[in-house]
Amino acid sequence: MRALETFRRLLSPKNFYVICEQASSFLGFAFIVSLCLGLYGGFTAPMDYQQGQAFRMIYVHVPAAFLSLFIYSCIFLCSVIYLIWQVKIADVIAKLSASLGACFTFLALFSGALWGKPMWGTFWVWDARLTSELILLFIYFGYMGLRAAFPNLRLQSKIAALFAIVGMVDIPLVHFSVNWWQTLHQGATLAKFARPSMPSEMLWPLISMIVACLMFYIWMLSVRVRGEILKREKHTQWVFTTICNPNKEFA
Amino acid sequence: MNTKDYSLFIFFTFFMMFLIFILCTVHAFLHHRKLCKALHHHFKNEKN
Repeated sequence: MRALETFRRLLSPKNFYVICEQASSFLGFAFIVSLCLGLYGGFTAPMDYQQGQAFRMIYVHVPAAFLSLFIYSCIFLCSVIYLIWQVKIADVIAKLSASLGACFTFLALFSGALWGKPMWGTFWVWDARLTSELILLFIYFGYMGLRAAFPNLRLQSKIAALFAIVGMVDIPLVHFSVNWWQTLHQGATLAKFARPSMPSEMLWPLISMIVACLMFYIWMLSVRVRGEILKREKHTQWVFTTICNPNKEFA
Repeated sequence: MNTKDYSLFIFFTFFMMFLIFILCTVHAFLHHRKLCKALHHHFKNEKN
């Protein structure tokens, strides 16, 4: 009970604002470092014996695809938390994650199309993996559109949360489509840590790029969440004190 | 081994990633700054 109370206090808008402000620069730094490491490792890794240089697109495609699923899972989790416990921050995170998720989904589709041309001979096929990923992009657009359609914040949050929970159906479809159906898209590479299908000199840059994208997502979230909290809590005293702090010059 | 030159494909893939990173970062920071400025003016007007 005490732990739950501490957790609730930690997730209060004011405390969350402070946490985001303090974590922001560390997250930015972690993003830059892991991106540089990933790019260095990605471009110095040996060529693939079948794909040649074209395999290097994996360092964009796989992190983007992973993030597209991860961000939607976060939106789903935040929506459930919001609907059950009415935690305002959960709704803020869900709202601001959507556009980032859509960007990563678009990047996964774009890089996949460019990788598909040399490997499969075509930019696009109506394959189960590709189609379910495209549906995920439309779900992101639908989520953002639905939020924009309702001016009332409480109603908007509730309807968007319900939409996000229903949309979660697509996530296992994207992930397991390569196992459930006969697809042109290859099966999982990273999920097989017990028996890796990549040599370590190719694998570590990939993990580094995934960490970079993850750091980027959390970093952007920490910046955008602060703005949204200020907007929603502008009638409170602490926002007044924060904005009118003489050490910060916004004018 | 596939020895065809796919450097343009690789370039556009990485270019798009960097474009998304840069646009998202610039948008997030500019939006935050704009919001803080607007709130600052709002509080200043309220005080006056």
